[in-house]
Amino acid sequence: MGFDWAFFWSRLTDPGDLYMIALGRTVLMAVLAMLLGLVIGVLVGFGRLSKFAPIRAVCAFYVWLIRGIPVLVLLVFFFSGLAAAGFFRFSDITLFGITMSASFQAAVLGLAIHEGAYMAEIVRNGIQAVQRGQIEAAKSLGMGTFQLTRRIILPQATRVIVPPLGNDFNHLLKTTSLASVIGVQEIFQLTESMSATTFKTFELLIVVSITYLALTTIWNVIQGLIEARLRRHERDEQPATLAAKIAYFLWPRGDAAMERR
Amino acid sequence: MTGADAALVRADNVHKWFGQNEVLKGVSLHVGRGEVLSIIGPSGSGKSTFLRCINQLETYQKGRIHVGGELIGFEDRGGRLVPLPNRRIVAQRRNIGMVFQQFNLFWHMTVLDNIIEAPMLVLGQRRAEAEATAMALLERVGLAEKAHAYPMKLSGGQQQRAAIARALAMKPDLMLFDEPTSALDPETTGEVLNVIADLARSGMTMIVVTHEMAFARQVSDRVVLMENGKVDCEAEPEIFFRDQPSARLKAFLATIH
Repeated sequence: MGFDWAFFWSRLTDPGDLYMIALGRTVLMAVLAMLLGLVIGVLVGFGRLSKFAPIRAVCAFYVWLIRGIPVLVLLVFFFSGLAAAGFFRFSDITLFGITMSASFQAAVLGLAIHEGAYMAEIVRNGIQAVQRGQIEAAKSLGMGTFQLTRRIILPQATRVIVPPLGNDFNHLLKTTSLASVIGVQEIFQLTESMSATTFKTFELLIVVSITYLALTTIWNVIQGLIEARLRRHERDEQPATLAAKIAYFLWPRGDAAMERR
Repeated sequence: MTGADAALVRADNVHKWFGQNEVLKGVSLHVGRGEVLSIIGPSGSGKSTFLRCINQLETYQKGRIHVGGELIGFEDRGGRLVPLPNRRIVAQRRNIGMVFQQFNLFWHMTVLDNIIEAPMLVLGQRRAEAEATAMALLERVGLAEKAHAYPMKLSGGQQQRAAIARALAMKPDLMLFDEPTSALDPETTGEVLNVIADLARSGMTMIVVTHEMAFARQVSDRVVLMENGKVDCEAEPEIFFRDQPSARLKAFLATIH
């Protein structure tokens, strides 16, 4: 049994509409789960530092609970578990002519709740990394809690939060493959169903691996651009061109890395 | 009592505990309008804590601090101190500028943005107005050409001068300096002290916690020695340093000379 190069190349260069739609689903699922997870993460992250003990307790409980449950179990729980118990059943929703299947919604929600728990820890760490002196300076200038949170704490915490957050999104792009288990037709699910009919399992798995690699590579570049922008305060000379910015992200200069706070 | 009423800052019998540890044991100090008061003393004597109580970065538990006739941080209900809601405390801080030992410039903003931030956000100034004020202040502290630099790119002395400009942009009635040159090397200490001395001559009311004895002697109207949470002695600078009117002061000055 050999490697079918012709089949491999044709799948790689012309994956077909079905695969492109599945790819769109993978990306959309990751982006939606990330955004929703970020909202949860910011709320819970701040909540864990609340002056009000019950809020701290609820947020700590959420993080403890969700980080202790495998994301696969969480997805199945949301899609099948809730329905089986008669609590809630997802149904297809059509918005602006686009249908979101029940399994897609359950996957986005499950991934977001999973991500939110991890992001809450990242956000909390970012907020705690803001130096006390910065907050005291803002207070001494007459800024209120909301003003100094928005203008000082959030922007400074963002510098700390973004790198691990980008790392999380990289992870999430690939974790979407678990949604295949609850029947979301994303690229891995499609790959599996195609290999069942073509028996070209090995070739198709390599194609889907390359697809994930391409997604994470593109994200890597985007993350680099975001981080370069957030590091403006560290350097006088800014990488001028897009290529220079990407190069700087991939190979940061040692001295600049040493200068980081 | 007219003398005391003319005072901008009136601290009376101020007590402060950190847990079981009493760090201020009844501090009373009055500072007149336009007066420059320097506070010296060994570390741990409570001088920074006292300064921070004046703008409520720390809360005192007993006594009274009035600034401009207004009781700071509390409401007096028949002799009982009731903490003010946070927004009232925030409002009280507007008229009190503070300069920190570690500068505390907002590192994610340029020098200019550091200075215009609070005037725009807190006082609602327009950008053009705030920038004009900021540039005039930067000119005054000799940093106009660094307006668009980020704090990390400046020397300690430059950062501290920018921080002074930032506090002044709020047009405060009172300026508090918490060891403004303690984190600086000797070469840049002078440039910061010059800016503070210049401000003192302009008639600003100031309280300066410092270890710079020569500076305290030249710039202050009055010098105070704090020790062990109390005011040990206070006098005009010439008398303070020449006559050294207390045994503790003699001992303290001996340790640093």
